[in-house]
Amino acid sequence: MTVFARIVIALAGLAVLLVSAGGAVDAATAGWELLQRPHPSTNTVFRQMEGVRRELGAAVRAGSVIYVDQSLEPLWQQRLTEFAYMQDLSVTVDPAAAGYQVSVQISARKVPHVVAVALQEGRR
Amino acid sequence: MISSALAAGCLILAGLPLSYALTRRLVLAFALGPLVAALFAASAVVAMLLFGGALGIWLAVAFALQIASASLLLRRREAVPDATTADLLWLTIPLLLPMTLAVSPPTAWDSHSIWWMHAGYFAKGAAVAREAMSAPAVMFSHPDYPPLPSAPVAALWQIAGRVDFRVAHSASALVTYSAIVLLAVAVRQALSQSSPALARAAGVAVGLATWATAPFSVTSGYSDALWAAAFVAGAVPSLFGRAPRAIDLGLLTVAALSKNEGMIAVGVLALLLILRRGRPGAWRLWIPVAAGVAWAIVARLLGATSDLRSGGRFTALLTFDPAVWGRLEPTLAALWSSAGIATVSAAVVALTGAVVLRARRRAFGLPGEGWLWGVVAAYAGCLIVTYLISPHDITWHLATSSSRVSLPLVLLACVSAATWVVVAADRPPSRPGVACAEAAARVPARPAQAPATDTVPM
Repeated sequence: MTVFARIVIALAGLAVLLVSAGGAVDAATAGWELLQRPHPSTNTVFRQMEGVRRELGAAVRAGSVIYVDQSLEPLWQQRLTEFAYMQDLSVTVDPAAAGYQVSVQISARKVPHVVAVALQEGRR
Repeated sequence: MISSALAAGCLILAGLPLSYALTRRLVLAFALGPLVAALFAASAVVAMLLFGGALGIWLAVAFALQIASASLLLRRREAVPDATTADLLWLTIPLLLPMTLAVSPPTAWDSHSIWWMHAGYFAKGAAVAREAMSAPAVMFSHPDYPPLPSAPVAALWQIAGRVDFRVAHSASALVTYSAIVLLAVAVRQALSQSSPALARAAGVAVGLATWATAPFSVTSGYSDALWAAAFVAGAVPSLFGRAPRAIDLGLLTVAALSKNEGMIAVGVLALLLILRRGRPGAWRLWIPVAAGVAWAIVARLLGATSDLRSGGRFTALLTFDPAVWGRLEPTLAALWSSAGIATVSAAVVALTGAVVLRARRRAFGLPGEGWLWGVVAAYAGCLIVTYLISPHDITWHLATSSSRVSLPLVLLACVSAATWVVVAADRPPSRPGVACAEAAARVPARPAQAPATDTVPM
């Protein structure tokens, strides 16, 4: 009886551990596949993000306050806000307090580009 | 690639003095180093926010404090048991395989919108960080979230003088890996009276379970795996009846300072274990709780708001508002989908084991698991309440977070399952003083070639 119970408990516990390790197998497989690529740490989205970060720094003077175009999809609203603080800019939700309105336009080749429009009254 | 490797080296070395002083084991100290570095970087961020100035100055102060505390500890610490070089090699290498996913592009949503964004404004100094934390435009970023996942990234960017998301990605993954290895070590140490091979295998199995619920979030800069692994690693010794050591308290502090759910889990642990009488040092579990509360106060003083605090429907919960209680069914379904099978199966194993293998478990020096399952139940209850009162659309909220925040349930369940596998499969140590003394008297000390026989009365 006890030996039977030990076998059952050991196998059932092992099953829990094996099922829980399934995600690790998936991650290892996906990681191995990525390592076969020439540039595993780069993809289109990352290149686009880095392009927008560089363009924002070039388009708006450091120390400025920007207003992020609220009609943008959340991805670019949030990325512009994130990159702004990394480029010594700050972000306001009040266009009247901003020196620039910043947006992202997608080109015909589906590449995002930063569009910064200077505002008259705001802080630049 | 080179910058990521340099960043990893920096993080390991930055935490090495105190890691070594705490463990007196060089390989374990290398594994613990990134977590210690992250903890001190988080302390530097909090000091910067409170007293002003540049992050670099406070990083230097934090490092000096670490050297001072390491010097004091080096005089009296003994080497941590059951964490030899062989143990660490067996535990760390298998866990590296799923970590290969850390080479993926650094584009994860929360990593950018929360953790690396916070790192960006922390690196710019106190004035910018304070302004950002209270800015309405930054509300989406949860500026009230604790600083530990962002702090090491901010420190590296500050030292390098530039933002590099690949560095952020590798630093976040390394700190998480450090917590996962410490989880595996905690399980191996809890099973110190079983055979080393089985104890190491159990440690690896529990470590691999970190990828169970949201495998792609572990290495992509999210903080959920970090705090969940650190929490369970820090909780295991206390749940298994030992007084919390400095390392355990450090791990629990990492959890409390990595995400609000981590703070809840650490609070649940401290509350439950204070009910457990006759445990010396249990009061120390309030130190990590105090660290989490201190951050919450600092964040609030700086104007950071939490979505639950500003929009949480506590009153509606208490008045049985159907708009709140109607969210219960999808919440339970989502939690069942991510953690239900593993948790309930492990609970069944634990119950069966407690009935038929109780004495055998005692022979391995393992106490009962009531407190462990108490933490599982209490944390699950907190998750359910959080989803009920959340101001967000329930479908969106569950889809974007339930798999990640339910990870501690699976990890605790796997700790339980791993101990029962060892109890059932291994041969109990035969030495005087163990609970099954009768068996110990009959069975000679473990002969390597002897067949496994069940001699322990149930």
